[in-house]
Amino acid sequence: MHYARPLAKLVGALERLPGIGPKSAQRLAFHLLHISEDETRSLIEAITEVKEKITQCKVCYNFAEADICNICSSPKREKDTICVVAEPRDIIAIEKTNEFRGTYHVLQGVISPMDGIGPDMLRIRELMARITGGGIKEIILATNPTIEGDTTAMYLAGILKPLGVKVTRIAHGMPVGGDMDYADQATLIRALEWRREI
Amino acid sequence: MPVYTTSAIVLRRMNFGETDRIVTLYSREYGKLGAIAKGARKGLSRFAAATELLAYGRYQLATGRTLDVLSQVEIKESFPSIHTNLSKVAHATYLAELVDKMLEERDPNPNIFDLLLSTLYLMERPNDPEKITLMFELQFMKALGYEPILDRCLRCGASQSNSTELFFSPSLGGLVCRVCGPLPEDAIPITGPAVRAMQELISADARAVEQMEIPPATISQISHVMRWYIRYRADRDMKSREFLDSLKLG
Repeated sequence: MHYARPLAKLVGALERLPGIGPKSAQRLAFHLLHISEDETRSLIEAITEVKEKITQCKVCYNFAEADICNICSSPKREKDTICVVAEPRDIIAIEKTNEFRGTYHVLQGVISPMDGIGPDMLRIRELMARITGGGIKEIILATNPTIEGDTTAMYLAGILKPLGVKVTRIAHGMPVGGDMDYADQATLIRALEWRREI
Repeated sequence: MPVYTTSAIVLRRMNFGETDRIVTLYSREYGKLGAIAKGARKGLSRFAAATELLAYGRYQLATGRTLDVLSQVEIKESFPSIHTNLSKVAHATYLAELVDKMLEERDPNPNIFDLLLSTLYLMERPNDPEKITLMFELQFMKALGYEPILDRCLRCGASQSNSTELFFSPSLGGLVCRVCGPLPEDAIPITGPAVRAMQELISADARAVEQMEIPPATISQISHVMRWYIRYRADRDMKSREFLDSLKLG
């Protein structure tokens, strides 16, 4: 290519990151070329530290710095309620609301039959073990309202309900600031079905 | 950038970049085509619901260099009953995969489009998704030119309508008898009622299929035969088949 060899190597490495195309990779590479040595070192350190120190929580499978994550080890969290999410980033989204006081369980994906991802490939067995361990009152299924998210929720409801635990699904409906005109039939049906008195 | 509008069903989608989605649409007028839906993963996007798997609508696309770009959409049906029933969603996903894997891009076939759409509508109604899927499989194979021969032996032509011992060969594409020679290695034993149900399903319209009553044992026999037949023709197994199997076992 037209790049000097080390620069080409960096562009190539950046291009492999999700959502980064050749143009963005080039822009980032040129930016990195211009930053100070201190900034470079701190970036390298941050990446190395993440790779070395971040592990998976042995209870909920969220990313953690120790064997048990901050949420699972906090005495302030209600341990009898588990919110089931697909990915660790979903926890961050829910935590930002400051509304949920329970704990989480990260499935590490959703059932996606077309991609060959079945229930066996998710952390479902571990969730079952947490429930059969006792002390759980409610499971909140907080997967996305997509076909895969709904499939996962329906599958989980089918196997969790016989365990005698209350299983709920997060509500779907009109998004805040949404426009009825653009809402699809499925969203409106659910919005009407799950309406509540004010 | 020329713009065109088409009726289409979403067969597949994958996330792209921060908020975009790449969708595979099966359109009545243009066949299978890839398109990018910008910002489709944002909560308030007008494309979010329209790019969900199996959504059916009128899609306006602008011709792009590699992928066409979704510019407007009007959803006609999002099949809410399919979405809220695990067995139906698993079967419908399988249908989408079948169409996606077995058809080439930009090779329109309005018959297959109409078949897929009417099958989804049938599944949306209170019908057994397994029976509806078998109807689709048989009529889909027929539309592709792979109609199985179900009334006579493929090798000697002898009528099989009164035969008590029937076999289906996926590689030959129909019934074979053991009178005219040894059975092919892949021959699957099949009962008379199953063959008759297949014959009915292959030519039945939506209303007739809804009224057909097929015993579960016959359904599972036909399902087994079709699985091997499609695997032979497609030269692979559909990935979503595995999940369907796991549901049946569970």
